[in-house]
Amino acid sequence: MPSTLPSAMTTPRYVDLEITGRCNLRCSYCYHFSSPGDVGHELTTSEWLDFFEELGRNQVIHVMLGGGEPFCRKDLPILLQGIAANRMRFSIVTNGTLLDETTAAMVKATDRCDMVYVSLDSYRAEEHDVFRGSGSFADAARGLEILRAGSVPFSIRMTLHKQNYRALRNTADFALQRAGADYFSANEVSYFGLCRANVKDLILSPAERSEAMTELFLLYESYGDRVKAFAGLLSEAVNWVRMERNRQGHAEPEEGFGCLAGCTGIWDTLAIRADGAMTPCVQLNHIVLGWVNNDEVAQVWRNHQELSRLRAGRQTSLGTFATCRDCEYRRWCKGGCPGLAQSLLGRDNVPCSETCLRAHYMGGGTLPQPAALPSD
Amino acid sequence: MSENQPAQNPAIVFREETSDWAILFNPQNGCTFGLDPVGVLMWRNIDGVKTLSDHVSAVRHACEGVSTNVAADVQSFLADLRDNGLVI
Repeated sequence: MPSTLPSAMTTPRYVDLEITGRCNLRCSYCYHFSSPGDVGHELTTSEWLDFFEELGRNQVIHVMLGGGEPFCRKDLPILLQGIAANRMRFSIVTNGTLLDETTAAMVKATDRCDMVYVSLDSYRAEEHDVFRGSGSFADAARGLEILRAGSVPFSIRMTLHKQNYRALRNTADFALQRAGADYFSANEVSYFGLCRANVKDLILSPAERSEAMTELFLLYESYGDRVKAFAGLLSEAVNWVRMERNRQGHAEPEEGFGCLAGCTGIWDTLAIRADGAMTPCVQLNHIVLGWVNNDEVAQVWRNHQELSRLRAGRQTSLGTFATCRDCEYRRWCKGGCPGLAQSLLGRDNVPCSETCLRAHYMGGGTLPQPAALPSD
Repeated sequence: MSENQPAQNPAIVFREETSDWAILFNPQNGCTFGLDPVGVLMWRNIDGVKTLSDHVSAVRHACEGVSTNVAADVQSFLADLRDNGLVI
């Protein structure tokens, strides 16, 4: 049911930083390259440090460093010190191939690192390398070993596509048993960046997605909370299972469902492109809200009309869309990711067809019947 | 400074989430601690000088319908803050 809008936080609690636009790899499904965030220019060391002071003044508590490959930046130690000096914690998303003992020790020494997320697409080198490049598995595996030896908290993220989804179980076992990762999670390739040119070879069909979802629930049964569902395919599976159970049980819809409320990030997270553009999200990075060190974060966060417009999606009933009007899941649905809707349909204020349960069924997909659901 | 005159831990981030709710964030361990409007009032008053009875009086003065157990509630709240390293 469409609802009154909650108040946005006074400032963003989290900020996603595309700390660089450079990367040593060119993965076939990279969301960054060829996206609006793929800009030639990136902020200098001092520009980032000035910005971190502003984030500290605004009581931001966590920044996520991605890009691009963060370890391409030679000034990363200085940047991490700047983050810590401004009383924030950080996480890093990396391909793991540029890690060495010195950088791992540097990350550890900050004492402010929540997690290093390393991308690993298979337990087999040839399967990982096919879309990430020859030799990248060996380099990433070495990086994982360095993180473990250095007692740096790390998690492995697998990006699922047609060529590797059947390796899910073995890759999770590798991640959690052999590599010693704290957590394992799985995203699927999606219609962003370079993937858009390789959809046929990469994107999972509904049947393949069903198989992967079933395996993820089995992994959750095996490993419990070491298999994370905060995003990605398991998160989507949990949402869909809840929707199906609610429909069958005729559950009373909760506030915030049945409307365009699929994105929670616009309520607590701001994103920054490598060139300093403030955007609502790394997946809506064509929307420039302002510029680092030129526009005030708090003002942009509270007053920018584009953020207000996106937040106001909660007042748009899914029943206003022809695609949803007769959908029996509508009252328990949130309309999916606006970034993905933008990429697929050219509009961010419409339901996302790729995360639609009814479309999943109509495409031949099924839903697992898990014994227990992850909490998030 | 003593247990009876708590002071804010200077490492802690006081983050105002909305106009009257807040969290305390410890960047050293990543823990957060939620504050309702009364908690926000109390946090602002913690200065290393005020005593338990000062805090109780401040709550009584600022809030309507205060419980008869307010002194115990305030003491419990301050103990929570201390146990979580938020005050020293």
